[in-house]
Amino acid sequence: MATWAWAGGGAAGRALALPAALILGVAAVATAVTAFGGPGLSEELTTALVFLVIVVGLYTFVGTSGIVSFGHMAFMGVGGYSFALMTVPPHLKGLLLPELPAALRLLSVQPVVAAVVAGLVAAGFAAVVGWPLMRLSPLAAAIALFAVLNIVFVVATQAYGITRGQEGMTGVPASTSEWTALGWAAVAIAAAYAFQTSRVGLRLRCAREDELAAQAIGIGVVLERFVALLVSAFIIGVGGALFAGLLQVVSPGAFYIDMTFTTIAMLVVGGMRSLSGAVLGTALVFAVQEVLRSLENGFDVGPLSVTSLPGLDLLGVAALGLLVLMARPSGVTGGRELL
Amino acid sequence: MISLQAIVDAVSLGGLYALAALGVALIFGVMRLINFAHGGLIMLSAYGLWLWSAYPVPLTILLTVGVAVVAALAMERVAFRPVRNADMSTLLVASFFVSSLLQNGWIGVYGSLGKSVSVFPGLLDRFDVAGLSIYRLDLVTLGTTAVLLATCSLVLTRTLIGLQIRAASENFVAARLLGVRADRVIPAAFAMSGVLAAPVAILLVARTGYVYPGIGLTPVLIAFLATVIGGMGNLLGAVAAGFVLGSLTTALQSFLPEAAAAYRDAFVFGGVLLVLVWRPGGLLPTKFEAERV
Repeated sequence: MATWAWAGGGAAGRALALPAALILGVAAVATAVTAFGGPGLSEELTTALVFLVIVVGLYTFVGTSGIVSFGHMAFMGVGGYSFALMTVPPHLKGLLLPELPAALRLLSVQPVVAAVVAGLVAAGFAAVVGWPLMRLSPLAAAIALFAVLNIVFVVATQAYGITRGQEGMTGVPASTSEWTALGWAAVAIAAAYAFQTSRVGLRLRCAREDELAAQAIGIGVVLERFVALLVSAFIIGVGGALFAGLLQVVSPGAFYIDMTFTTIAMLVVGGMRSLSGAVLGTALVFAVQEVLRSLENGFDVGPLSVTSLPGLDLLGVAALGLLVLMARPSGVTGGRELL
Repeated sequence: MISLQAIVDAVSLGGLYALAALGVALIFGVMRLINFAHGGLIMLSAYGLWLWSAYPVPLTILLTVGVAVVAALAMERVAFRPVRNADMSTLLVASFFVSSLLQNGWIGVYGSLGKSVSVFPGLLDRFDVAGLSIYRLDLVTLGTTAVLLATCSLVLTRTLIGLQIRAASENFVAARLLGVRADRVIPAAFAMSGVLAAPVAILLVARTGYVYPGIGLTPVLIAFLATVIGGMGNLLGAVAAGFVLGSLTTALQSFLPEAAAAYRDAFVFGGVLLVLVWRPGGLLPTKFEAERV
């Protein structure tokens, strides 16, 4: 089949073409923004790349299993707080959280290592709460995961001695540069692709299309869903750590409803059944959001002067998401991969 | 007599949750949509209360119910009808978007800060019956819940449209084949859910005296959980589960030690998860769950 054996790579080359193209595309955009966008855009770029990590993580579960989880930002929260507990300098932790056990207080880990550990903690948390939930019907699982998010939110708000509650955990060292975020985005895309083309990933996608038929040919579904949950919780946990390292603070509001809403919108707009959709959707929705956010503080329409419109970005994203659901339910990619 | 007091509290809160759960379960029955935007209806009604609190009480209540019904019908027509045949996940996401649209639309116009409202100040008075000190509000909540649940059950069992709603909940395709019009039952169910959303808002605001954009979130989450553990598509199950969750919340409130009381809602959600682990189809599973290999 010489037609698709491009660059002489044969089947192996084809297998790597999609993740390579996506990673190179993201890297090219990132480089272009850094080169021409000026210093003002660097923080936006980093934020976009962190969103990309989180949305790709979300895709790993939602896209492959078909369960639209409303609770995955819980893993972002767990990752974020774990990262903060590991990286906030000990003397500062002693001031902020005097009740913290000495072992945790004295803990000081390099941000790169801490991000990986944060991902592992999130995956561990997912393993404990997620296993029983994977037996539920997709819709019930979506609601149950939403309950998990709410539990994490309540704990994060109330456990002042560990999380500083609503005030948020400050003093996280600035550790997420655009290049760290880009590196992790590449890892996330590669991992998501490796998972979706793996044996377990293929079985899960088969069950997504028709659960009964899948069960009839011996796919148990529960185990496959569970593996997807662990992979996605790890990626999102890392995303939470990156977010913490970017904002230098972790607070309960950062991984609750608005974050859930934004990431799901990114997935839906791009097309939640393809990795390309997750990447494109993140870029598209993020761009729309940035434009609307710049209008939020007031703008002129001819003679009319609009003074301020808080919430305009989320409003616009909600409208965009609804329009996509109506006009093109499977997203701009139509649920297909680009290559 | 603490136990009797606790029972009054439990039934009062349970009634509130049951109303919210019934509103969500009705919509789930007719179109398999878990309506996240039900929280948006509660929010709109609550703000209606704030906007119109200067009017005479009956008029305020009428307007509040009206705004919820109109909003429910509008969201059905504009947002949900075009995606009616999509799968359940798509519907859920659509309702999530509608909810965000309502909430952020409101924030855009009136800002994100909460407003304090004192609609029915007399409701927070207490009075003594047989050694029991009861809030008037608890009695009003009980009465409202009883009347609304009774009315709903009459409408569902004794009227043509109610019969059609129940038929559609049982099997939508078969109901349509027998002449039930989708464009009638679905809006009817939405209108009913609007009627049920408004009293939840009124009773909540009377309880807290405070209106904020996220006011519908907790009730809708409880309603979701109630529909799931009640057995999806089971109206009676949802109402019963609403009462169970209300009782559980009240029980935790009085029995949890001081330090753990702040985590009350986390315990409630955790309890629901345990129920689901034990019975994945809910306590009263329906045929909806019956597909097996």
